[in-house]
Amino acid sequence: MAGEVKLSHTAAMILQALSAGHIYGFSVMEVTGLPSGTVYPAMRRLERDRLILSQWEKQSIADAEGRPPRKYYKLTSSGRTTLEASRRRYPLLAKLLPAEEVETA
Amino acid sequence: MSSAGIVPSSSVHFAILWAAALLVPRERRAEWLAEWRAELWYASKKCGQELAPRLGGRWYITAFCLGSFKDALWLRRNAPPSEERATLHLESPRQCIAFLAALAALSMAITFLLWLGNRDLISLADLYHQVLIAFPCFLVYPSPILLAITSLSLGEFPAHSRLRAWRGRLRRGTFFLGKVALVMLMVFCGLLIGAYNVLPSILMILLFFGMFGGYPFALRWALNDQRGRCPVCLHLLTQPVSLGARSRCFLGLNGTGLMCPKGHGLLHLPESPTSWFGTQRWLGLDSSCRDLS
Repeated sequence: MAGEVKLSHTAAMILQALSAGHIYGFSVMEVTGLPSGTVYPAMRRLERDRLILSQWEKQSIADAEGRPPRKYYKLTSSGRTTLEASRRRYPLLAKLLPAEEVETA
Repeated sequence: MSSAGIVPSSSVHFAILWAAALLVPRERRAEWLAEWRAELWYASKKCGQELAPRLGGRWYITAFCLGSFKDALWLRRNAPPSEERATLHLESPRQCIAFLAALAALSMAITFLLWLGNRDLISLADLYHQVLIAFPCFLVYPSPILLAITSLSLGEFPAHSRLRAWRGRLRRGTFFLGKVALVMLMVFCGLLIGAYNVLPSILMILLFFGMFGGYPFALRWALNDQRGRCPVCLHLLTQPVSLGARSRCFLGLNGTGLMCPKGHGLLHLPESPTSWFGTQRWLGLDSSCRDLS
């Protein structure tokens, strides 16, 4: 029952940030104001629990733009269900981080 | 995952990431480092632009890099057990003694080399005199600490067991004393290094307290190691199983059962000592049970 997974407020904020389109670790840090030592382990936990998935962007895209390739994260279907449940639990979540697509991989 | 372009980060930040990467399990290290380096690139770039005045620029990047330690530690703690992970094989008594002897030889060699470098300050006679005085003190002082941190009992054996034979006792005693002697030698060499001020003062103080604090714990390890070995073949006992239930400790054994890998017997360790099961108890098995191991 993925929908019944209860997340901490921090984990819910990270899921919300990812859902809002902040798909990189540093972008999540920026938008949530959480330190790197909180965001990255939390994302590993979420990935372990199959609420998010990580993927490397193509080297050719990064090379064309003259930058290193980044690892991006996206929500799985159970992650989306859990986020919905978390939004009900933390009603201010959606107001803190409004959902809008700001970054794409 | 090679990084492209000019990375606007200092070598200090890379050094922090490299140091943190050592904590990450080997099989995930390259990918982890690539991810953090890429993120550092973006963080540095961002900091160079609009974030610098608001977030404290370079210090923000340093704090960002230091966060990698928490991430690395999380991965270390939650990594699935790897078959390739290097472990010390001290199961057999020979391997155990050989390993300790190698460490002791290394510590003696370091002590000797450091002494050679400071020959003008410390004469050989002085060194000999110090060893002669310090060593007896060294034998006596850990006893009260050792009594406080562990039990000195090596367990109970059945009354009519062959374990009571003098040859078995001699073998176990020799092995135990050998371990203690090698551990003592290592700690003593460490103390000599510190005591002769070969190292810088703060490091010397740390070493001194570390050795004095560490010595009783090293002896405790020797005792625990002895208790965790088969009294017949001195191999480390394996296959721990939980026995009984904590709520029923007055009705039956609540503790752990271990088995000799060569099938010599079983060891029962009580979780909390009771009047009827105060210490670990050895149950010898005859040759008909060897196939069970």
